Amino acid sequence: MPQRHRGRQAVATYDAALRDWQACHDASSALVDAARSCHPPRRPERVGAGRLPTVPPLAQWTPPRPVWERPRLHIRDRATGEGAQHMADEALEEHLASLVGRPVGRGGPSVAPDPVNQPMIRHWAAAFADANPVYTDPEAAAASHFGGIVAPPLMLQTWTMPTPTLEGIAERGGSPVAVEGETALSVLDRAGYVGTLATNSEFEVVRYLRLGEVVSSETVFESISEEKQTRMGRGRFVTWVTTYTVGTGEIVGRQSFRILKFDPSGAQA
Amino acid sequence: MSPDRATSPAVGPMAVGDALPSLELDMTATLIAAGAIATRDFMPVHHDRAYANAQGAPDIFMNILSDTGYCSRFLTDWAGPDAMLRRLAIRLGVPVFPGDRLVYTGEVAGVTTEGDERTVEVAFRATTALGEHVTGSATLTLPSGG
Repeated sequence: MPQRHRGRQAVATYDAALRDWQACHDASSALVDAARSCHPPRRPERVGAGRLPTVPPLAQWTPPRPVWERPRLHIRDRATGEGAQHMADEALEEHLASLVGRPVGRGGPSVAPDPVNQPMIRHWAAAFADANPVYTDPEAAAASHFGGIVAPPLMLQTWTMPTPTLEGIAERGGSPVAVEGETALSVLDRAGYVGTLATNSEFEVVRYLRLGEVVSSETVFESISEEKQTRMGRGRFVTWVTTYTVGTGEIVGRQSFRILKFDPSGAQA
Repeated sequence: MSPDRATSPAVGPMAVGDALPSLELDMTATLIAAGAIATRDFMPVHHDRAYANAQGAPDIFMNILSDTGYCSRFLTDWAGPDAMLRRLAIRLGVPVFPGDRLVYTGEVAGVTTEGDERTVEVAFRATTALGEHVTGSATLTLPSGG
């Protein structure tokens, strides 16, 4: 029972564990882009082609808020170069505001590599020892409110995860597929917010999925907060929303996911 | 959990403040790795201890998709197979490592009945010795006769 012996050490080890965990996330921040955008492997692009963010179709694009409606710039008290810093901040604010409503990653929907299927559901149910019979027992499921087998609702995110290229995954910092060029989040890394901490996840489920349905997902930035002082250091909360659809665009669920991108050099002890 | 429990009506009348049966999990490397792979999350920090160590973590740790998996199990173990999970919101706290005992507790925060459908709000949390791993709330609907 290691847990009992750890009782008194818990508080002392808490900060150390959190730091360790943070170090992990830091080193793997490239994964956040790749895992959340969930794209299938991409055809290599010519050198330099990936530098510019992909512009989404107009219908999916929300124009940035006018300058006068944006939050006031946060000008830090710096010994030198306040004016230059102001300009940099303004350019950054403008860039971040322009991301809202745009796809996270390279744009375009991610289509699940396989339809909703019993083997993957059985594997999932076994991993979490979830004995709910509506997932795996055809007779009990038929007798239930659902009238037949349904997929676990929170497998939504699993169906559209990319099929990984395992070779080299460690070298890519855990990214399941190679990510080329710049991604929308890298601007935050360049602005010094190199730390990544997942903070919130929220699912809304419209209906459960049935065997054979093919899920697509599309993820866009919902909001990027102004800079806030947090326990991890100065940072910005970034929220993106993934919409899951089947067939010809029927929405079956939605997930919003929030991370804190922060500058670990300013962490409070 | 026995199959009998899952196929029987798990809940009768419900009232605000009713406690859900707690779910206690003694996490192992196997459980963490199995959860990561079953959710198609192949990030090495969730299955490769040497890699996790090299990244500065004391061990592999549970991925977020496993969190939502266990939350869903915790809720429907109680609410039964006719329940439909409509919403799940979680706030993430301390990580979960092998050797941790993860304990889910929760209570009914609201019940409304409309027509033949009952809507139940649940507030819950999962803790380890290090502190709160997740706190959250969920909405489930059930046939009101159930």
